[in-house]
Amino acid sequence: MNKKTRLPFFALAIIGTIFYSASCKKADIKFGEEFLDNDIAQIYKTDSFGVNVSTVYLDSFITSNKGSVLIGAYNDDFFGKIATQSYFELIPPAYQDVYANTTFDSLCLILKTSGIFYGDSTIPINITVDELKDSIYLKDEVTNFYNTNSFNIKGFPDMPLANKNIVIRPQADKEINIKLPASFGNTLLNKLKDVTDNTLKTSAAFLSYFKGIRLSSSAASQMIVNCNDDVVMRLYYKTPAILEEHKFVDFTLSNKSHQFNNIKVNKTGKVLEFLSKNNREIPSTASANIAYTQATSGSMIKLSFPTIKDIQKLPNFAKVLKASLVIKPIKTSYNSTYFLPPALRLSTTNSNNLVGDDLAYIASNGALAVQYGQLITDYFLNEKTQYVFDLTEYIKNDLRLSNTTAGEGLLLTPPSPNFETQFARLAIGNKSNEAGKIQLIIYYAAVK
Amino acid sequence: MKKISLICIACLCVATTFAQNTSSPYSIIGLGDIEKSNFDRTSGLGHSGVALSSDRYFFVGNPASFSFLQNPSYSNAFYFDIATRYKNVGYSGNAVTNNTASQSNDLQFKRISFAIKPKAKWGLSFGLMPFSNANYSFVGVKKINGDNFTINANYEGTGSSNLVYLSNSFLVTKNLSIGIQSSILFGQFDDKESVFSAVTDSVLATDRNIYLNKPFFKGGLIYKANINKNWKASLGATGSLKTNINANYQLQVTDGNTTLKTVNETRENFTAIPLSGKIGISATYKDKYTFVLDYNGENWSSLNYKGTNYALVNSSRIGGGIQYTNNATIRDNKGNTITYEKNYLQAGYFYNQSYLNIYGQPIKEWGVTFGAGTQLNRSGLGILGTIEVGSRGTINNGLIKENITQIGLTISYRDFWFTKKIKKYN
Repeated sequence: MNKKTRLPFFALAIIGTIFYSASCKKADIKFGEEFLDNDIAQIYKTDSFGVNVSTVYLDSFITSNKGSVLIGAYNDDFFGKIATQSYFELIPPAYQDVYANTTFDSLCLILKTSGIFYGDSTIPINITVDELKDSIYLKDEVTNFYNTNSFNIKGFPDMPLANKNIVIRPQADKEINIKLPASFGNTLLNKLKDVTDNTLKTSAAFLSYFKGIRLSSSAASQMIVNCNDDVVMRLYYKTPAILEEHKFVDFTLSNKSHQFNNIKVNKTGKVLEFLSKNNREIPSTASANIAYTQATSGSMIKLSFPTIKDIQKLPNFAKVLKASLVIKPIKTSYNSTYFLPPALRLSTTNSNNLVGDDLAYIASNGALAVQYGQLITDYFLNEKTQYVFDLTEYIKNDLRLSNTTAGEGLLLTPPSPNFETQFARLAIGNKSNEAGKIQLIIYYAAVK
Repeated sequence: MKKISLICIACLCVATTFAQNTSSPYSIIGLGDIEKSNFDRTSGLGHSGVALSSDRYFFVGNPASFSFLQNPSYSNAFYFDIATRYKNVGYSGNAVTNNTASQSNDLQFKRISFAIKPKAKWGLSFGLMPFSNANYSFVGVKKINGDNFTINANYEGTGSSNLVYLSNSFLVTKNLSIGIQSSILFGQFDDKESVFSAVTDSVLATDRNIYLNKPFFKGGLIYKANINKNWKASLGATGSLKTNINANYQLQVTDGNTTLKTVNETRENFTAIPLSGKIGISATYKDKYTFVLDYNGENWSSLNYKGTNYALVNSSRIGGGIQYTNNATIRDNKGNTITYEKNYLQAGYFYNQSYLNIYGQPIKEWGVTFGAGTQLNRSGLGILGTIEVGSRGTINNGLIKENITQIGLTISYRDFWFTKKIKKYN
């Protein structure tokens, strides 16, 4: 082959090399509607899997060392008469020999409100202060006080230390002052003056003398107020001088593990009247298609998904992609006075209805965080109010198990310490209740 | 050996670049974009000229054309063709979300062909040419069954089907040639769908790979006639029967790191090429002006291939063109006068109702083509350049209109191998 005839082949080879390295550029296109042959993997949405809803009985729960001193009582349409009692001990101030020649002024019990309350704040609340007859003590092998614990007070002929009806504006009033008897205050000051009297020189000696206080409320009250646990009993006195000097000394709530709340519930005549130790679960179908949560009064909503494994029988079912539980409270069950729990959690449970692990999600920082339901409130029309929980992992785990264990489910309750100290209630419907239907919405992938 | 090596390099380049194709969202359907061009001299004539043949050039669209190639008595002729194409597509319609990225373009080799004349009446050609291609990348909308809303899904696909062909052409009479193209249709299509939204915590991905491999046959004939002193005419036709194509079907569906389904199997009659036919006529006046007219029909409806909003329908294409030839006359070393085609100009038009019908909208295509070619003096090299401007699709119903510009370059080379010794008398 001569040079001329070789030329075209060299040209082809060079062109080929150039074209080999040529890249193609693509455009940004978004088709408006589906016309694609993409039905291999399909996404389905279903809400046809039932949720069993029931109310279960809560035996007792720890109320000591929760940071809340509960005062008040109210009548609840669902749960009946709820009354609280708060027990605590006070200890004397560090002893100083500075009380000689002082004169008594007054004695007050000062409670600091936390801003949390439940009920009708326009009606005066009754607060009764009693001195305990018994010391606050734990029984053997018990480490906490429960909502069911109580201690005797000094009864007749001793009168309560105070009994007062007051209107409290919980969000405006920062303190509740309750005047205690002057005789008791004088006695305390005299003991402080008397250097030979050891009663107020040590906490132990004082607690042997003054065993503690119970705060309670009469049936006329229609509100429960949460106070902080930094209660003080303040003794005001005067020192003699040309210009009279007013001073005070505080008896403080020091042992927080000995501060607890007793909560009594009288459900007579109410829908949950027969929820008890002997009847631990009432299906929503037996309570007008409604279930209730107010842990402080011993009721918790239990949810279970008895047919969820059947999703695997759906045609071409491959995987649950997302599962959401949408909880819509019964429209008539809440308002701005009897408001909804601001946060709820779903906790695993079994046939014993004990609160287990809370359902969590992976937060933006990568850590696990408890789901609180992301409450949306609509107090105007009550249409959009709802809690939403992500049940994806829970449902996936459930599907991985070959058998269903009877009694397993989820408890819907407020997180601690609201669980033990707050009365915001929740009433939800089952699938048959149009006023507050619960929905388990599942998105799943089906692969042909 | 050098010649063979260079040819091998060229072949490698062609084979490698066959995988790169212009992006077209419509290519997600069926076998993708069916290639309408043969990347030969019909490309400048509105892709028409099934009745054409030449003693010098390839007309690969009709397997009957090769018997007309010249085979001098003193030599074995060897013909070689290579074609490349630059394609630019501008997209319009509501589906184009980014006006600064509404174009796609690429540059590829499209065809490589060889031909020889084993006998005076037997022409033989073999080579590699595209049949269809798919290349798309766009955001689509995926419906959630049981709900009223949709979510976005990314769709990506690449692939092509090609023909390795061997055409035998026989001159039955002086005016009639018949031929058959025996091909292996082979190809691979990779389609990917990725769904990620609030509904899915991870990417739901479908990856489907299809490998095709099937013999495919096409018959053809050309009949020539001299009408009178000035006019020559020819009639050409090709046809192929319905060909069912098996596929090696590979599927993997994953959600995040979880594999939901894996398939690797042979699927009988996975797809098919329908009954197809093309007929055309050409007329030449004083060896200067050539007129061609073709009609092409393909019976895609018979495959019953359809989806929710689309279906394959019968396609038909009509095209025509005119060519002006500038002949040159030279004297050979014996003093004989030889006339040969020095250069030529072409213009053509085609209208194609494609095999796609989406939302009841037929996806139509039209274009005008221009070509210019020359044969380099006294060398075996011929060069053809073509330009095509046209459009496909519609902006109705959220669809896309593609404005297509293509520039083609076909290089034809002829050489004489194993020159026969001419007996000399003492």
